[in-house]
Amino acid sequence: MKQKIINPSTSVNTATHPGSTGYDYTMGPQQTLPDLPVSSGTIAASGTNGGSSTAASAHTSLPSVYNGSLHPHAHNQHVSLAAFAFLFQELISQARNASKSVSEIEMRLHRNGYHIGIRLLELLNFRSSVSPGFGSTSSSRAFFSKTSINSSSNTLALNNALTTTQDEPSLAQGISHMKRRDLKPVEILQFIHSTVWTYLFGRVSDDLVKSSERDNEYMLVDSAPMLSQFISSTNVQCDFFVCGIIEGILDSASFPCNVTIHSVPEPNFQQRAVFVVRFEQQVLEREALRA
Amino acid sequence: MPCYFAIIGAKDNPIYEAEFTNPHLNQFPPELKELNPFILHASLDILEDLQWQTHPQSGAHSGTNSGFLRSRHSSSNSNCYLGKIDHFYGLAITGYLSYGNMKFVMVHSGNANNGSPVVVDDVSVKSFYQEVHELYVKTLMNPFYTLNEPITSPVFDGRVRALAKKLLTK
Amino acid sequence: MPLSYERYMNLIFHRDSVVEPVPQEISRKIVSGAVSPVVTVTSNEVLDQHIQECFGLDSLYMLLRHFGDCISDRAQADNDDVGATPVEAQTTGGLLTTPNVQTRARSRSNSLFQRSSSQFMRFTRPLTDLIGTRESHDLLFDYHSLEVFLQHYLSLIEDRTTPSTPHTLLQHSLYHKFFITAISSTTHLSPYESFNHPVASLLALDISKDQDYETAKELLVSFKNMHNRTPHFPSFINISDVLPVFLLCYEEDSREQFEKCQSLAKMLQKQLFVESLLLPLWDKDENAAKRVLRLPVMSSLEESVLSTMNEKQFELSLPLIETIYDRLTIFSEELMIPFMKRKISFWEETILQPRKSIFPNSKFFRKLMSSNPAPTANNDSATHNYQGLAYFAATSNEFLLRKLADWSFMLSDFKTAYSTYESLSKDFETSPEYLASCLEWCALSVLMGAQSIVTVKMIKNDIDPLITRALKSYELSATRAKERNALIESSSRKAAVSGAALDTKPKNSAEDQSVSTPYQSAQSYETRCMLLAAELFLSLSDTWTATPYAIKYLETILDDCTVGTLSEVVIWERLAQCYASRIDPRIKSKKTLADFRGADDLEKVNEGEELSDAESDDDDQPYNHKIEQDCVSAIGLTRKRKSALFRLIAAKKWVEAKQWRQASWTFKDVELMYADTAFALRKTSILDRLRNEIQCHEP
Repeated sequence: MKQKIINPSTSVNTATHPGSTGYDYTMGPQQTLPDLPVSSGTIAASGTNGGSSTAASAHTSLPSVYNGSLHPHAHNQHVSLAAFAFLFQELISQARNASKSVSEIEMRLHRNGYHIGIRLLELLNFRSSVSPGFGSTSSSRAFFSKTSINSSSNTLALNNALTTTQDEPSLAQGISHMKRRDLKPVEILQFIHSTVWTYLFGRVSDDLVKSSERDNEYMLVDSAPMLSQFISSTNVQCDFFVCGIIEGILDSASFPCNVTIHSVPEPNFQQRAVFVVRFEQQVLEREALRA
Repeated sequence: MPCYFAIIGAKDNPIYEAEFTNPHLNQFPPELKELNPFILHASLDILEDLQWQTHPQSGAHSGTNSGFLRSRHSSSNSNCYLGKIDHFYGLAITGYLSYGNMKFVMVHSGNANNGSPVVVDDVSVKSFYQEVHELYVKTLMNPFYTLNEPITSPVFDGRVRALAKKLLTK
Repeated sequence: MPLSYERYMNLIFHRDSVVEPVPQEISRKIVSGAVSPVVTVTSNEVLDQHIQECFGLDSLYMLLRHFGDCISDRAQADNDDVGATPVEAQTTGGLLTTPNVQTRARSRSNSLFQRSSSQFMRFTRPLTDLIGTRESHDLLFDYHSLEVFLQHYLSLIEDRTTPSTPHTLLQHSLYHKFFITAISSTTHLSPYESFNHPVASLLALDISKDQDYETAKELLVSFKNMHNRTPHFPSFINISDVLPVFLLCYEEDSREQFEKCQSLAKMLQKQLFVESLLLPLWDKDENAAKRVLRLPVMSSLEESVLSTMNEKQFELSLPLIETIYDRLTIFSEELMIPFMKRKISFWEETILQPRKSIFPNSKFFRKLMSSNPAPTANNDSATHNYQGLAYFAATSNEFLLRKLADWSFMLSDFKTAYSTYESLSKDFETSPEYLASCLEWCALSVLMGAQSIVTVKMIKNDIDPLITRALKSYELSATRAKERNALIESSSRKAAVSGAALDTKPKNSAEDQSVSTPYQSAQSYETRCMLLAAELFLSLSDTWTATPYAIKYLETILDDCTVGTLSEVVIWERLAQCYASRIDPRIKSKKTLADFRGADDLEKVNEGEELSDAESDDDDQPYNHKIEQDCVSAIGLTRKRKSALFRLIAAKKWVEAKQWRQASWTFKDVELMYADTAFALRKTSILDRLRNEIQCHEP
């Protein structure tokens, strides 16, 4: 049962979902109301919405990701840094055990972050489209807390949160205008600099600079990286995790790039990190074409 | 009026498709039904053109006279909902982009009986797209879902159809 | 050598050239060819009899018409299709003469690189014949016979190719064949434009049969008096604007006949003021290499249909073909073109200049003037035909100006043509029939002339509105004609009631026919206008801005005009072509991932899929979690997917029309285009269905 709940994109059990079997890629689109067999003629006669509403009610009785709310205040906003530090430690040691070289460890961390970045882009933008004050009364338990997102596919812990059965009003109803999609490299970087950084670390990043040497290079500066503050004396750059997040955001927003991390210690900030975003040449070409 | 809806991934691959029809009155004629995915696929060219325009309303695809229809409804600073992006022999095609550039596209057919041109109700179509967008974000939040993979969840399917019934096929 | 005009247009007879690229500027060449000067061929019975004996052709016209088109291309001497004439080549010792042909071919100029279109020529039957067979209604083309023609042409293609023949150029050629057939009609004489009105007339004499000065004089007199003797001679044709030239045919080996010709030519020049061409038509050399005559590109629809049904082939000896081309070049360069230029400058001086100097852009004066010669009742410059339609006479200033513009167009002087059409369009404001055609050619002369400097703004503000206005005027003229016809009909009914039943009966039937036609007639003009405009828009160098207009017009044809099924499919194909060429010029050099992959290595694509399947095994490719991005910079600046859709529809329609060869060719393209898209490869997909259907017929 657990399997079915957490895995809605892969598991299809027709027995528990009599009305709809979900989208089947090999079949193509299905009509809203598949022609009902003659035996269930009463349902068909009861009107066009009979079949699907019963199906829908069958779904809602089951706990599912679709019952949760995306509202920021629907969940606890904060997670203990200590708890996350343990998780992060486990993440790193897992990567280390599976890898043969330093760069491979970093690559694994990068990939972990990448999938988070893809999700953050959609989630944060969608959230900021909602008019302020909408649906803030909700008090259900944490679902999309920072932990669950950051741990991504590495944990099953979030199953516990999937207990809400009541349907909340969708956030989309509270949206009058969707936030603008970012079309320029600077715009999307500012989104990372402010929105994303605030969401992840509780503050905006310290600086966003354009490289004076290369057209396609930008630098995000974090004087005191939060994730790696308990990590020292290693040649593994654990902030590749954050690089992955940034790259995931930029890639899925169609700004293909490479993000690398460089330690640039300063007297007051021993761990000062500079994230170098190097966009692919075609991003600039597109800029020029669309100017 | 029957609609054909699809979410298209980064490689032109549909990750979700559905037909919103009414079995008694409104259905796509068979010859159109089999062409639908192709018509939708074709309008991706125009969707992508609009995707990167700073003011997609003003730079509407020439050759259609629908440009002014769009600018009326969509607000000037929102570029997720693109309104009617294309037309094909009496069919209207609307488009919507998520922040991760997933393409939400729909083919609207007019009433087959009287052959009247399709009138797209921008307000309800837009809110349909936004609701589906929310469902998509929720899908994406599932760690077992991979980007660009088909969304096979029956719950998702059921919800989308319920939304379509509420907002589109009245 | 690049593909010549004729080779391209008759590509089906030149299968060795099917892999070459589409010739540059071909659309403009076709338009030039379609409106090239018309030369009527007047022969006499003795001569025709002699031709029949010697060549097996019905008349001199039937012989000469093969030499139309671009005469500098010498297309008929170049028919070297392997499949067509293997036997003849062997028996007549063609091997000996081939090197000779090769050298000639090299020295021959290629029409596709010449800007001047004056080398094009069309031949028709004598004017009297044209008037006699002129239909009461005014159709530029008959979609029904066009359909018959396409049917024949397609089966010809099917006979001469295999499913594996490279088809890209053949399909282009097919469209252009359709295009030129659709826009041209050699026989129809329109009162509103002078493209089909003869410019020159060849009066032929057979010297070997002792025809002499008297026969020549007789021919000329009957030619000059044609308008008095021919019933229903249209008032919009002026015989004195047609250049008569004698064609003296003699035996090549006979010195005596040659001298006779020369003295006769001198006499004709001195006494009748008419030039002569000497043509050694009767050639006794049996050993010379022969060439089968190909139908000229610019044939009227009827002729094309006729010839596709008639399998008979005619051949002439190569030296004779070359001689005829030599004489025609002389005729064109030394007689016809100077004549046209003389006329143009005369009209310019006598009509155009005075107008310009007296009324420099003054609206008031123009009004004063245009209120005068409008073709209302009892006006001098307008005449009526027997159906009650008002025409400008051939001698009226309006029609002469129109002719001036048309002839400038024929001689590729598009600047003069444009300015004349433009000033004329102000005069024609009250007569939509004239206005429409005038506006149409005004726009076309911009498109023909100012190729590289046509900007977005020009298209949007000048050319497109001109065409739109032309189309509206055509429609207006149709409704007017309808009203007028209704009026005539009702009055003739009254007449019928009042008595004279015998007299009105035939008349009535004629009118019944014409009542239904104004709409069709206007539509045939509209269709031509849109086809022309679409094709010329496509020929512009900035394809990104120009193709939407081409697409718009072609779609309008499909939507609003009556065209046959096969024509429709051809237009669908063309639409796909339009979309394919809609690429932003700035990204033309860029390649997308699909291009890199190449068209034919489908297996590679499959390999890639397997790799992504193995993604879960993450030890091998640590970096493949990145999203694959397809040429981000060029995104949205092409219409390849649109093109694919239209090709798919074309393939579907070919299947419906049971044209299996075309269907399989088009389907091949479609499959390649959708090779990357998984949704198209579903078992239930239309592609699968089409593939099965086609495979039943085209293994």
